[in-house]
Amino acid sequence: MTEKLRDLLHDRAADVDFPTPDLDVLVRAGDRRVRRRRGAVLGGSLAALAVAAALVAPVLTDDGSPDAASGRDAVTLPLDIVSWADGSVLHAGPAELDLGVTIRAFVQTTVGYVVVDADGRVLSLVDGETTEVGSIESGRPRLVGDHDSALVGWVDSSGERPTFVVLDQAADKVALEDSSATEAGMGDLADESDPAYFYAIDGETAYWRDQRGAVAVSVVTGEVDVIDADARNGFDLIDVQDGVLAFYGAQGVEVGETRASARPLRDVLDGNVLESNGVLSPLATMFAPDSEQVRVVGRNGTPLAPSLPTSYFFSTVYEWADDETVRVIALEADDPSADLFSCSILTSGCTLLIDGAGAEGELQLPTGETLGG
Amino acid sequence: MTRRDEFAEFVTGRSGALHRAAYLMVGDRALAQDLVQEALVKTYAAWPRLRDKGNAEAYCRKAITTTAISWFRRKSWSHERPSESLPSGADGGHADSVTQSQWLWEGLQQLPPRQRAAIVLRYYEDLTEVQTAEAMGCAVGTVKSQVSAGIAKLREHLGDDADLLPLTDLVVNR
Repeated sequence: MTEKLRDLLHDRAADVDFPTPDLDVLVRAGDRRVRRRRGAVLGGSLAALAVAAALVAPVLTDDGSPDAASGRDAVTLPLDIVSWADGSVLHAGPAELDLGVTIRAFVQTTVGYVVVDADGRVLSLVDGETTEVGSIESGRPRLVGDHDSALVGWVDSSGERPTFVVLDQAADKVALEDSSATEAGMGDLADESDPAYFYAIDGETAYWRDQRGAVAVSVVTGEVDVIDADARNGFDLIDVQDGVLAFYGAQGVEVGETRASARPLRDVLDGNVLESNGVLSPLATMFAPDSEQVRVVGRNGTPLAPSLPTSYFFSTVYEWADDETVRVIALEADDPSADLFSCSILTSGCTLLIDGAGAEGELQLPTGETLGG
Repeated sequence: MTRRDEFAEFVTGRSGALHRAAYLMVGDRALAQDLVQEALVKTYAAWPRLRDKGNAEAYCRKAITTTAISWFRRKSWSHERPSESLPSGADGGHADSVTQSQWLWEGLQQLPPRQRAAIVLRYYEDLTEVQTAEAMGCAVGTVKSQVSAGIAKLREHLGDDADLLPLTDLVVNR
């Protein structure tokens, strides 16, 4: 008896012809999509926020130190608070700092902020001082940091071959530079084949991919541990927190202390990938995958997703404030401006932090990468 | 073979079948094209992460299905609003003016998107319940209930011709 229904479906499907899609259009759109990260479809203008202090930019001198002769005030932005960038202005809660240069990407550390500007300069902001500490040649800069560390890493491609750089903001110095297993011509993007790619920093350990595969490098001793010799590109290791690694493997997101012991997270994804990125909580007890509707799961696969108003058609976690609180970016269908929320995993409740937070191409979040590609 | 070459081979070989399945899910040729284009863009973006390129079609099918359901939810672009109960139908002289197949097709188009997707995946794509659950991003029990509810509504819609539809899937096993 099922044949009638099957026949109907096959007859109807056979009645229509479709042209082969334009491959160039698909590839161009796909390339743009690849460059997008976490809620890249942003637009709108920044809504008025009660600003406690309207502050001006310290001007950089030739040696990278602030220009005292400019007469402008040095500004210390608060830490451990919601932060975002809009054009050249870095916001931290109620405070703001105009750097005078377009902010392409930034991260927050335990002692300050690290920013990549439109010229690829890496700027360290600590205690009101802005110092140029390096450069990123890539058109798509990537910084990696850790919520409880003063270390920030990136790949410097300005030399003959890519160099992994780790800045210690607390010590105000570059703690590590390593190009021992890279070679000229290696890419630095996640989806390139054989890239020199900085995965993550966890505590005092840096994780990157070079010609050895995925490696863990002690920033203190320089000791190297190859954790996945088969790592092919920037997608293989998603995040590391508290010594726990989130890999992307044949069964989707796989979490564990080592590659061999990592186990798939139930109900996060299948082996075919839909959500291959995301962020572990600080104690690695939960994982928030990139998705179109905010999702959080426990290590055992238990869904723990907070509740946002249904008017938001898009929402995803972009960082953990602590092990029980996530920060979420959300979009409403009729409002091009993105909102930022704080959501409690314990209560599932969400609080609006920022009502409207910048136009596409202008708004950046502390993920270390450029939103909108 | 480059990423683009591999993807081009996939598009050339499978876009026709993907379009037809999408058409059955949305009932509109232009929307099906939009849906498949969106799914193919997602597939191309995910290409480096597909460890087994043989999974590309399953990935794309999942993108089509979840995007179709999502589009319905967000944009409500269905001209025929899904309803809890369909208008009763194939009684008496109605069969004189509308063919049985047309009536069944109309009934299918009035189902809620998740029920329609589940039926298309099970009866057109011939996927198992597990495969259907994977494509819809839901549990197997949800597939069973969605198919069962959809078939029940179609049987109600068909009236006297209800025996043309399967009875087995009316049993819900959660």
